[in-house]
Amino acid sequence: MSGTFRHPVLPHGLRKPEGIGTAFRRQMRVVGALTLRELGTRFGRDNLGYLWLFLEPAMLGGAIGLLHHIAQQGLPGGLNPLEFWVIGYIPFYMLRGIINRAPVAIQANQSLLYHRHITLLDILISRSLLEGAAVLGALVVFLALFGLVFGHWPADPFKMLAGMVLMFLFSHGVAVLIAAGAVYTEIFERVVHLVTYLTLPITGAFFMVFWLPYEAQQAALWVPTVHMFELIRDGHFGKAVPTQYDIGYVVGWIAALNLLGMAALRHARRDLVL
Amino acid sequence: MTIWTKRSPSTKLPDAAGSLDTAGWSGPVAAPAGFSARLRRTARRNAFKLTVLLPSLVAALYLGFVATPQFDSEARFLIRGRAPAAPSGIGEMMAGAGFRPSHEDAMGIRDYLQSHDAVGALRSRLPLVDIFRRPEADSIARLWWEAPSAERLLDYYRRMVTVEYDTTSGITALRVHSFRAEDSQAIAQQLLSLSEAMVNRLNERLQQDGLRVAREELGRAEGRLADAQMAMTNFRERERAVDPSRSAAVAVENIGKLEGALAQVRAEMGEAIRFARADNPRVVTLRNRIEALSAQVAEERKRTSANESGLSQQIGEFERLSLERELARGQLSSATASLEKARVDAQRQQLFLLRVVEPNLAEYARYPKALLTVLYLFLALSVAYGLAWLLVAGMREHAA
Repeated sequence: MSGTFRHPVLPHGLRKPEGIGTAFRRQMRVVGALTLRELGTRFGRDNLGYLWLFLEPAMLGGAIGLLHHIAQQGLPGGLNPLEFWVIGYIPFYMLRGIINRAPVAIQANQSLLYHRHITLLDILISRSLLEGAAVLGALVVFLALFGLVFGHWPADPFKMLAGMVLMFLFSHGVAVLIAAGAVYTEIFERVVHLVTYLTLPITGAFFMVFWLPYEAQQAALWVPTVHMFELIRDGHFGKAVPTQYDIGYVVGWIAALNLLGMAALRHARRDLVL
Repeated sequence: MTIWTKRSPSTKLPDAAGSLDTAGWSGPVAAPAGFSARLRRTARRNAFKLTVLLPSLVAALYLGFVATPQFDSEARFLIRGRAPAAPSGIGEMMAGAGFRPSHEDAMGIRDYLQSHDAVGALRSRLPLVDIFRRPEADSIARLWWEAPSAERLLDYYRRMVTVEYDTTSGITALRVHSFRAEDSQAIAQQLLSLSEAMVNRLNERLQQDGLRVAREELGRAEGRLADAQMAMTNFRERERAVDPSRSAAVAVENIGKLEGALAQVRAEMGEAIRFARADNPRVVTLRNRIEALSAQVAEERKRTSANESGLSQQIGEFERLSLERELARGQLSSATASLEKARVDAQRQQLFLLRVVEPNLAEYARYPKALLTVLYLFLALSVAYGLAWLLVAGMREHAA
């Protein structure tokens, strides 16, 4: 039946829809451009400029690691305190940085939405990517430093990278959810710093699961970030310490958070008053 | 087949859009021709059905109608005995006192049960490949290869046999699935006896390590004492003296006695000379005795002084030998004591595998858990679908 009647020309205004590949490439270009713009608005070009991007996490992580190194608290398992605190603090910095910046993300970039090709998700992705890249850069610098000074290179860099990627996706999911919520109420902006500060002890940044008694271990393993920190430490320290993590559990969390976050963001876009 | 699409109202002036019919419908647009295009369109329209419902349905059909039931057999055991290595940090606070479960050994047994070593040992006792390829097993769940390589068998074995160690209770739980209840029980039974053999091997090693040093020490002490005794005997035979220091003392005492007797006789002689003449028989007798005694004393003196140097050497060597013998005796007694202690220690370090739950013979096939698995799959696929949909929709917004 098809083919017997064929309209010779498509009517004006009905263009063939573009393929998904084109749209995806365009989205990537938008995200790249937004990232560059974000870089410019946050750091500018004066004094050290973009260098602050990873100097910030590097300095904080290094300072905290150094403090504990000087205080020299013996860590169970004979871990080097400097390495332990830096490896714990830098991923935590990413988690905190991405989540803390989420509530103002939309508000700060609202005017950009007048461009048809810029969506809320693009804005959030670009901000998260910037933070993640900065922290990854700082981490690589520190790992190289540990390798050169202590002669201790990461046991399995891919595990560390996987841990960082999971941490990034997790933080991004939470950030999207918070950003969507911030469209409706200011409360997220008010409490997000408090919450990230208070949850610091339970995220697993500064303890290892095997230090805890059995019941506490079971409780700690409910917290998704604990798994990611354990994965990162497994990558860095290798077999020197026993680690416990379940990647499937973390992936489940990430999938659920991102699903809810993106759905909430679509909903929020409709209610956003420009 | 044709597709009709509705156009949004034109923003141009009405007379410019005159070519359109009033209902706002475009003319008929040809459906994309070709099989692949049509397939793609159908797939796009039924994306949820294809990516979520269909796999769930397939899984449900397989689990519900095709999958062979699997019987599980469970055994639990405890490994107790040895005091753990010096605990550190928080571990110290948790360590109780007394006869405690030994974590390292239990974990060692757990690792052993999941190793190729255990599979190899099990294979020599049971027809493991046949068990995993029973004729009633469906072709997806069973072991796929007739003559699997060790690695593939190990992978399959790890799927069918799980060993979990609970650090609070110290109980190791062993779970075996297979397609027949008796098979599961037999595998669990054999694995338990393999673990017992392993524990015994560990014990033997521990004891031998502990006792070996003490036994060597004892042997050395015994040898030393025997040597010392032998040296003493040789000395006595060579020097014909049981105890040179005592024979020296005896010689000195002899001289002393002789000199005493001589002095007495001389005194008697002095007394006799006052009253008797020189040829008096008593005086003669006394004179003879004095001469005899003097000669004797001189002879004794001569002999002692001749022996003087030899004797002191003899005494020196004798002293050395007897000291050596005393030392060897002391060493032997301490070595004996430490061997006893090592034996007691080794006994205290003995490991035990206590069977808490014997492997059971399942009556009901608990696996596969069809409903839960399908539900889980459906949920996971739905979440994945939602994510993909949102991402794609986000991308579409960038389309011109």
